[in-house]
Amino acid sequence: MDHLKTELIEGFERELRRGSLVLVVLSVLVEPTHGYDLLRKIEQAKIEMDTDTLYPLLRRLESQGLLEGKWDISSNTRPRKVYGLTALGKSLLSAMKKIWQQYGKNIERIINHD
Amino acid sequence: MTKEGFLNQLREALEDEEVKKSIIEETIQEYASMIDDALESGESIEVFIKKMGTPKKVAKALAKDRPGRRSNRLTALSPFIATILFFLAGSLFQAWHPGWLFFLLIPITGILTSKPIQWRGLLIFTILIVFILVGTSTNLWNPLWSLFLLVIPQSQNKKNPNLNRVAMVYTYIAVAVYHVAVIYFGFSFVGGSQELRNLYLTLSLLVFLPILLYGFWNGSIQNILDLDWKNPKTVKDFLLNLTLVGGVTIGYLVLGFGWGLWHPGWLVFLIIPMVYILIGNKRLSLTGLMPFIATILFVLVGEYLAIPGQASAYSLSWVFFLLIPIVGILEKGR
Repeated sequence: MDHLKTELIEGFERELRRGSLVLVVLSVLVEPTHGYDLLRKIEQAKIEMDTDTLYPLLRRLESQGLLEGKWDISSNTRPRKVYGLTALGKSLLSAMKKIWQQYGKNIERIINHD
Repeated sequence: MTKEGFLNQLREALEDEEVKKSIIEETIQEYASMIDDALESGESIEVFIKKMGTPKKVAKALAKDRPGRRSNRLTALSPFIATILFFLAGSLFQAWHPGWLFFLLIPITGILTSKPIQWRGLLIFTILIVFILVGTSTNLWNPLWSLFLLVIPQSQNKKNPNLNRVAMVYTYIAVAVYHVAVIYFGFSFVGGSQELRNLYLTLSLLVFLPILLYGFWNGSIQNILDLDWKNPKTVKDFLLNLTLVGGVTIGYLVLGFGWGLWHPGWLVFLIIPMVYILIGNKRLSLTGLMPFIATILFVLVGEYLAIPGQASAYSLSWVFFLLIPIVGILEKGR
């Protein structure tokens, strides 16, 4: 029974992480950021995610036209690829935020029996 | 592991997944920059891997996301087309076997409709089809089995492209020469002289040893390109691959030479992907194993079960293929 409970909780958390991954990444990238810094910001926000797919995700979002990656060679440090949101990315983020907030409110209501 | 070691492994993993060259170069550049960031902030490369994934995982995820991988109508229709063709071949021409080969249209359609086309996968299916068709019609299962050796030079060593070309040409010529020689002498040495038997065995050794050695050297047999012998996992993987592939090949040759069971003895080769599925998944996945189990049951029952009034039981044993969707549905619903 305990095994089943653990399995269900793990599955729930996994689904939540998977479902919110794009929202998290797009939200952080409102401010243009390079790859490893993005990971740090997500860690600092204490958001758990399957980070080993972070880079492939960045590439996918870039190919979908949601992100734009540019090599920053202007700074004094080494060249780094900096990712920022495109107009499409911004508009998707805004829509996703609304959905998340509304959904969150509805869930809050139902679990608190308001 | 060092930064260079990680980047080399990543490059090889991306090449194995047939990721586009321009994407490989950019990925390597970006990972080099990210590793520098991690090292500068005092993290070790091991911590970086823990956070950003192993080279293999990254390459697999990138390959999965690549554009062009599409599932079109043809792929969706292929199971129905294969089933119709199988029944037509079976009921009209009593060709249940090898008519079941039509089911291979399903994975072949998948390969042909994905981009880039996985030529190595296509070659394996082509060899399998030639092997079964020619084997069934001529009963020359030996030396036909040696066609599978053609797969070895397809796994290329990235460090020496010239050697790859030589190995490829050598393998194809060697297999052709071997076939011609065995077929030519084969009819006379059945019950023939000791000299012909000796010639046959010597020819096998001379022709195939270099191919097998090349296979070990370039990593296509042990599936690892640069063996890190200090790493116990590498040694364990190498020994597992060697035992599995070697054991199954020896088992097949024993069945063939000992009892003439070249067919359906070739089914033992299905043990290899089954073992990889079993050790690759934490949980037992019957869905992944079912295509192999169904094929084994189909061929064994079709070959050996006697049905009155029927030349073979293939007209009945096809039902085992229904196990594939049934088990898939049952397992998914759990």
